[in-house]
Amino acid sequence: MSPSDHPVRVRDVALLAAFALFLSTIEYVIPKPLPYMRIGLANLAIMIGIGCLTMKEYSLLVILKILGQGVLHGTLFSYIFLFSLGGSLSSAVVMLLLYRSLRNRVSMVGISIAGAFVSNIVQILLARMLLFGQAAWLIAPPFLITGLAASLLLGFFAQGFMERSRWIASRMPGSS
Amino acid sequence: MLRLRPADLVILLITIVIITGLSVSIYGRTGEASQVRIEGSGQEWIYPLDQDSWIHIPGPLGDTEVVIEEGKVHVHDSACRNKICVTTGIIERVGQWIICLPNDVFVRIEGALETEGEVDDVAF
Repeated sequence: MSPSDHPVRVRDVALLAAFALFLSTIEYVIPKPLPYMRIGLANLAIMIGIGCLTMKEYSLLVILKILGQGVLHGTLFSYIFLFSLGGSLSSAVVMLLLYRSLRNRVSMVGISIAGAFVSNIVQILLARMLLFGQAAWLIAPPFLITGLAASLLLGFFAQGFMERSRWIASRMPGSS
Repeated sequence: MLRLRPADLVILLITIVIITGLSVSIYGRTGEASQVRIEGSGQEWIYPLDQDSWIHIPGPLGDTEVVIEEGKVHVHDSACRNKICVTTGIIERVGQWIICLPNDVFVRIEGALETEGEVDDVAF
């Protein structure tokens, strides 16, 4: 397995995308106090992607995750898909930028928190524009707080997982 | 062993500060709960909280029945599938809300002097 500048490793991307959709399904069956609160389990796959994929592969993974979730939850052609799209895209970009610019000064914990926060803020702004107007802010605090807690735990898990996984180590840029 | 790195702490702190600030500016305003604002189907109604009433709010799926009783508000029934608005239960303080997304109905309790846009002005 070789680092960047090489052909897109379709199999790795497909595996991570499948992992993301699997986690997404698991998340779907976990009961939540409000249906629009998310744990963001699928982002575990995205975080793994940040660590070991090239930019091109990562973009492909993110697109697959967004489309896959849309199909899986049946929201692809509804306005709810806009929320998914906005949240996933913004957090994917922010997480990648943070990882690339901070390198060893940040772990998946920080990446996860920032990603979840940006995703939630974008979705609240969308809710403000599309659905509820100013009142959307009333819903903001519980969403942001549960998002913070969930992303913190997920970040710790992702960091621990990525430090131990041999599969990931063998795919890191620079490994042979 | 997992250890937080410097940027993790900075990100965590920034997030907590923003969330705290937002929460305080949104929920922190004092004031007696005095009116119920109901939005649905692009319209808006305001009802006094101290006057019992049983209100039918029209939505795309049918009616959502909002009940105001002894200064408390709940959704009695709604023409939606999940009935999340019904299970939300009773609200009685300023800032509390009940929402029915499928039927596009939004109910919240306000203080007397609130005007549209205030939340946004304070928050941003």
